[in-house]
Amino acid sequence: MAVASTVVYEYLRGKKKFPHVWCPGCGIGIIMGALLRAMADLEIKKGDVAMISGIGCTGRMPVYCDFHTLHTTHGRAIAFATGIKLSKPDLKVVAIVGDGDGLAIGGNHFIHAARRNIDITTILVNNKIYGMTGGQYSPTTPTGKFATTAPYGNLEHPFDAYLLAKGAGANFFARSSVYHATQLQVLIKKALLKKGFSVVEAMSNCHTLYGRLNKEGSAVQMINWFKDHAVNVNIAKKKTPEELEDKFITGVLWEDNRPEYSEQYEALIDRLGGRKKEEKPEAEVVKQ
Amino acid sequence: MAEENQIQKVEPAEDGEEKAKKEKPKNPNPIVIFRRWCKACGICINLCPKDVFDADEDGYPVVARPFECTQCSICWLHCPDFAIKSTEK
Repeated sequence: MAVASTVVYEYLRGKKKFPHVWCPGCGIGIIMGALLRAMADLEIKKGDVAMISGIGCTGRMPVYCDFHTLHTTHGRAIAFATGIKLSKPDLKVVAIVGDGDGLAIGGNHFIHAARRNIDITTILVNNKIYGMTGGQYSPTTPTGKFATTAPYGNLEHPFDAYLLAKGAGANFFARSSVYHATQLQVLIKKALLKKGFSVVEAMSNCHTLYGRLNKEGSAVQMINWFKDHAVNVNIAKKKTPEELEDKFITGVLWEDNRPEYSEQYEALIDRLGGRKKEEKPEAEVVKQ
Repeated sequence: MAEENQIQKVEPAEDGEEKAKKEKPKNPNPIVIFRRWCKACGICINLCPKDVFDADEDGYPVVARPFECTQCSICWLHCPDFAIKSTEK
């Protein structure tokens, strides 16, 4: 794997924007590094990528990356990404959503983009809480865990993003964590290459709010928690549900090959004869 | 001939100092930390398997034992602030 420690600096808006706003030890920086290294591995140029985010701690990510970037309204990252993909199908479109941004406020866009199966790579940063707004419980906060709006423990049941994406019809779902930075990089690489709606759920740590309220310790302790509680998908098949109770499964969980939306859309334009501008190259060939 | 070769291979392993001399000289400066970007979160200090870093009085990492570094790249893969780079990779 051709990774170098300096390759990320080519993709960063380093002189203006750094150091970044995230808390010391926040896993979003690790996820951003894995994403940029995956891009460098695939030798994707800066101008070929559109990176879209919503609001939240994850929403700051495109500010630091030197691609075509959009920082959009809350929850609407995938909606904007759909528009960009349909108008510019050659771009690689990456949507960065958080757990609240992608599954609660933008939950509708998430399932319908999966249903359309449009070619967007979605990085779902799951830190189990609304970090930026002060620690309210989110759709992925586990039952019984504490948040500022759940001082006696959360009563609700959390979403499983894997079942949601699979049920809605996504083509690819993978999960990893910030401890497994190299695995995360490999999975993002697979998701970028996969046609159709592909989701990579990156488990991240919010030690400032989630860790403090639930007494899970510092950034290092939370990252080590991911190390102890991750089970690879191949090993998880051999284990009983009781053994997997407080664990989370990593690796490629779901892969499918349904037809992709923007390609079908382009085919429809061709079928209806709606593309007149492409006659020019043919005329040049005749002159030569 | 085969026996002589085996002996030659075994000898340096018995004496650690000689083995170190025969290997290429170790890099005295394997890791660079940008102090302006670093937020002293302590991830590199705690995840390093060879215990290369020490924390200074403010909690910032300092490369205290550079000759222990094996270029495993765990520190810069896990640095959330992009504040560590390797001089060899």
